[in-house]
Amino acid sequence: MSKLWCWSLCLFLLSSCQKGPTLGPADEDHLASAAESDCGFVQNAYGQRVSWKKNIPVVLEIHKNYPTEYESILQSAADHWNEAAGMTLFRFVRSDNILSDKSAKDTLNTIHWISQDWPESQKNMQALTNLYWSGNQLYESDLAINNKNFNYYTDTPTQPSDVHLESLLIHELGHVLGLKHRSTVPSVMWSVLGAAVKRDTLTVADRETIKCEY
Amino acid sequence: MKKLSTPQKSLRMMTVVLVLALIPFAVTIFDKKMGPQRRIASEDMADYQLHADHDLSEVSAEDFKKAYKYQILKGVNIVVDNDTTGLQLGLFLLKNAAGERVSVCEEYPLMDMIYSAEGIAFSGDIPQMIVRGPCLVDDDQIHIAALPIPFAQIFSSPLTQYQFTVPLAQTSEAASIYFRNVVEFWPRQWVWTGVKFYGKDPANTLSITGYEVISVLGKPVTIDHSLNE
Repeated sequence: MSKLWCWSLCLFLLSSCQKGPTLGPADEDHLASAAESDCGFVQNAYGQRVSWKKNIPVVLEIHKNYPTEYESILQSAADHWNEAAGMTLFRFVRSDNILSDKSAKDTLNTIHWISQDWPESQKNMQALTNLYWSGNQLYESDLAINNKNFNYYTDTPTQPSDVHLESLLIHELGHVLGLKHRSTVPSVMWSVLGAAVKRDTLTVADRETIKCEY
Repeated sequence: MKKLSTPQKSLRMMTVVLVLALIPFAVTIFDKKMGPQRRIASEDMADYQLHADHDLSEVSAEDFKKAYKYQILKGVNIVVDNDTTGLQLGLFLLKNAAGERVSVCEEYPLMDMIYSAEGIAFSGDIPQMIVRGPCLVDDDQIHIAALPIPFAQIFSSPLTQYQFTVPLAQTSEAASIYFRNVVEFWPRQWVWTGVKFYGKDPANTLSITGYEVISVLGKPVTIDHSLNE
């Protein structure tokens, strides 16, 4: 008998929780607001933050064109976010499964290093990270690094125009996690990374941001 | 540990069952008590059904702040016409500065329809589309005419083209379409994230956000061209 009541109670409470996303409250001028504060994350149509939720670590497959000597830099960049979140957020695997030589929506999370086939219309972009989600859950991310128009360095630039690779990767991995660009607080997610500039330390804002979802 | 007798066991079991039985009622009562404090906007819409003739000219300034939003949203329709798609909105009347009853389009002749791509971001930025054009009363006199979007033409254009001009059937004026943050490909699904009407004094505006759209209609309004491929 008591089991029956327990089941009834559970079903009742579950049915109460099955409603769709709830929006934020109204105010004097608005009928509703975003479901959540953005906390530095991309938001869906309901204003919910999009992230990988529990589906971590994100497994990123490294395309064969990505230089092997830069794999350790990739891991170092990931470690900044791992340390801030207190958990392993990324796992990298070198892969032959990637059929396309550039980013493609194919259910794989990929990292491409593009030396020739980078579109002319995007020549000012050092890298591009595509994010795909359904509801408030990310399900694919593809990161491409522009080596056609930019050269990269790890310790010391050889040209004034060289870009610090670890700084760039920290920024792009932030996008992979669901972060958007910031402009009002010191952050690795500023949209512009200057030539020969090192920005390889997470700020207080970055650390607070990542804790909102991970 | 003290061992309970059979009657005591039964009493304890009955108490537990009673408490469990009361919880759903307690939750329901709590829900009813809290309900009015977190009413969703669609429930408030009933208050405004009185204005079935779209006439908000006698509505107080305080009520007007939200009444016009319900009037616009209750008339939302997706209009597909030849190669274009657009959103028709509910029309309403208001009182102008001279005390005359006029349509919203007379007082607010310019409008922006704002859309965001659904489920995609390029480097953290969600693609946006803004359709700017004249506010025109539709032929049926109860809607604001849709600003048409020629998706087929857009999808076959290079990504570097971020501005399009669309002729309008009802007027010699044209609508302009602007894109932001479209980088790798043209997104196929677009969610309507709001509208902004500009008065003759551009500082005088009326607007609805995407969250307000969802709160009244219950879900986002999405133009989905992925189904056509």
